[in-house]
Amino acid sequence: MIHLTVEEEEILAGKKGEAPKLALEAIVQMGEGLGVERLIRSEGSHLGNVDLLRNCSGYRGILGKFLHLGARVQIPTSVNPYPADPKDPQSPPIPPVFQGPNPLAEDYRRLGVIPNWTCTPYFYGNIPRFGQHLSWEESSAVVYVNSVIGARANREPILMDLVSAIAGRTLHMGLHLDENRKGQILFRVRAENLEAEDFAALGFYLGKVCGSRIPVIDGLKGRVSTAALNQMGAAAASTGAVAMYHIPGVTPEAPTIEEALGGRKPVETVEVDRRILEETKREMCKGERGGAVEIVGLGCPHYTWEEVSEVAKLLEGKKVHPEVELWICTHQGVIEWARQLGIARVIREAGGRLFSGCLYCLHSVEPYSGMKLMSDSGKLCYYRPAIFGSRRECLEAALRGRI
Amino acid sequence: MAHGVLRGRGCSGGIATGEALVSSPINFFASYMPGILRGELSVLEDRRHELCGKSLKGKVLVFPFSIGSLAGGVSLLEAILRGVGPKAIIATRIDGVLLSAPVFARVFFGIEVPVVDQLTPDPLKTIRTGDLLKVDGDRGIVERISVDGHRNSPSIEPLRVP
Repeated sequence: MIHLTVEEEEILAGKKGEAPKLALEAIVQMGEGLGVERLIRSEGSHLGNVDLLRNCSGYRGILGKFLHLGARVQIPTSVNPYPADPKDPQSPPIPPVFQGPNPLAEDYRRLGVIPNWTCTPYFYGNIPRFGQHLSWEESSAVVYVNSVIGARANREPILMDLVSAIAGRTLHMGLHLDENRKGQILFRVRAENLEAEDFAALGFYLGKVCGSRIPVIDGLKGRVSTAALNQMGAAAASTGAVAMYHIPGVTPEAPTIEEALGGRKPVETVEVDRRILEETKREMCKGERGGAVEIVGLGCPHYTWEEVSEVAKLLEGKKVHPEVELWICTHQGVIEWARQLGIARVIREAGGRLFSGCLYCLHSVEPYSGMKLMSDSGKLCYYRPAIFGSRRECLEAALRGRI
Repeated sequence: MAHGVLRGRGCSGGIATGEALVSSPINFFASYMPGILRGELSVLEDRRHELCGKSLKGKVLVFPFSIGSLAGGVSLLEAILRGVGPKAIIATRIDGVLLSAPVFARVFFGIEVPVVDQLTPDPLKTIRTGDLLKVDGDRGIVERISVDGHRNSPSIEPLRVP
């Protein structure tokens, strides 16, 4: 049996309104099914809307029921990207399945959701602090906030993100507990001078080896950017269910290897050398290099300011091949800053599209799903048939029209 | 009938009877989202899965656990609501993604899909596709009524309960 506080009992009795009552009922039933002893206050939520949800009658029925009851989110709650912005001429043409007004946008507005529409809310619009308990969906965001920020979040299923936002509670289990946040597998990285693409490959490899266990990654000290961590974690959360990692000397809960491991011996130690990284990069490619490329997709998860700036530098004065779509996805904040500083113009004049959207959603449906895709994202290369390459290789392919 | 009973943990309540369909782990998002997008959801469509092209409709799904996207539960919920999902679920261990489908089906739509996990003896070793099962999600009990369609067949191999 789950133990509830007096306040939670009051919510269940309907004293705080019908919407929180219904939301908490679902959370309590989930907790009972999972054998959880109690709930915890959530201080922030992130909704994993991949827009595919607009076709789910169940999801929309639940949202509709909450809105009918006058529900509002009780905690800062942000939302994942839409596929592309129909009002932005820089967006690619919207696939038929996503055309027309997004019905979820209005629902989320009425709920009071922050309309930041990004898979990197921790960079834009919903920024947690160390130690905060969260109820976030979006696997790449969960692994980032646990690892790099030291906030506490499980990989919440879609719908649990929503009810947690309305009830302000989530289940006290998994990574909310100290003892479950310690490293289990030690990775010793023996490769030098890791570039962004090496981090993507490292993440891809970590996920395969770890499953849902927590890796401690040694040997990276002092040479890791937030953008590289962003890409690495997203890949690890795709090939595995990695929700947290430690990098001694870099991430906040890992001052040393020993502390990252919680004073225990690792259950496994894995050496990662250059050969493993290069093998992984080949494995990330579905299909052969060579031949025409139709879409070059960068920004899954959403590119950071530094990544967009680097793209502009590499594209300056050049022209994307007329048969290639070059897509660079980021959040609305970066787009606004890029407009102000002329970076957006450089990308546009080169023939690239800098827009706020979701590469995965776009390439999952007609007319894009059959097109040959190249990306520097380990996550995208896991979920979609694509050729993996570094950012520079991707941009070169976009200019030449061939991989 | 003690030898035909498996005991475990009830994770989501309700009672249902149906034919077993034994499966490897399922990614419900990959299996159902293509059909949801086309507006004609019926069978599992994950090309990497052995049940690709088959339906869970009316079956008791017996499998180890769910894998993949955090949108797996909302996808399975959709199959349940459209009447093409499993009648009951038996898993080695459940997780939030899997459990969210039956829990939200009950709380918001009044539909019960009983779920049981951690059964003894191991259902993956003792239950075969086609066995007729009664799943009690309130008590965490699974009763094998008949083996692969042969009701009360003398050839039923008794389940050994330690």
